[in-house]
Amino acid sequence: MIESRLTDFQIPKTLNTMNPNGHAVPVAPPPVSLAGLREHFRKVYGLNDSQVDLMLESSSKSLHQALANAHDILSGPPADKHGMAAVFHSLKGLLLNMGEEEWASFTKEVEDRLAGEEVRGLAKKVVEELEIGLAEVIAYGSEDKIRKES
Amino acid sequence: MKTLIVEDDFLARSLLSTLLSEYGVCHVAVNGREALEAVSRAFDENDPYDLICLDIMMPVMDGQEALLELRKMEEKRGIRGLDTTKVIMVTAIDDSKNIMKAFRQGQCEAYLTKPLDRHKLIGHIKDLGLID
Repeated sequence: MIESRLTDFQIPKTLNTMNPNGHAVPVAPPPVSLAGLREHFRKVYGLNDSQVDLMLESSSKSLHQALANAHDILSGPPADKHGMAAVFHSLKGLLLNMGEEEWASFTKEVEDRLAGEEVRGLAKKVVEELEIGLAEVIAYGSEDKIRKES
Repeated sequence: MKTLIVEDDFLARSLLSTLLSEYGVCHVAVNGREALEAVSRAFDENDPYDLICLDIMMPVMDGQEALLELRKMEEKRGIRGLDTTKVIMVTAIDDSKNIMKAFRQGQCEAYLTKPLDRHKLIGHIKDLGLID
């Protein structure tokens, strides 16, 4: 059996602020830039330019799907915590592969708080912040192609 | 080396395909059920997979169940010991319960945690004797 140490990588803790109801609310990390993401795939995985382009396109597609799944689950039955856990677990894994540990931690806040009643509101806030903070990546493939063609 | 990548996430599939296609053919499946269909077809064609990279959390059929079914399939075909397909489970870092379950019940050879680490992936494949 080949084993790897489970503690090789630690997801960083997310900063929290208090909302008016006294609940800790995670603070969204800085927005993600395409340039930073390109550099991540180039450096960490040793990919060439066309491979990096493919990863940017894949990141965008994955984000579209993952956020659509999040919207679906948030508009479904409130009791579906298993479904919600699965969706935010997938988002977390995606963000980790994109090199976005702080955004992964931000998303993990929903997973960690699934026992609590306030999680639905938190989950909606996390999804909104993801859509703002990763807007450049989400838009990749549409705007970027138009820019290249013009 | 013939590899099956089983992942419901597009980026993870693209990353693993890109990294592993240097070493041979890569096929993809998006859930455990699709994976089992691909594996069964490969056995029927006498061209089995050498390696399966298997995500744990997936819709329709998760990686744990797929792994158990894969081992049952191999058992039925008389495939045992060193001839069994090498399986590397892939999951998020804080999923230690699922990782241990995969080792104890499903007999995978190794696991990888996200974020995917190229050097660890290639290291595992070398350790499994699939590449030089």
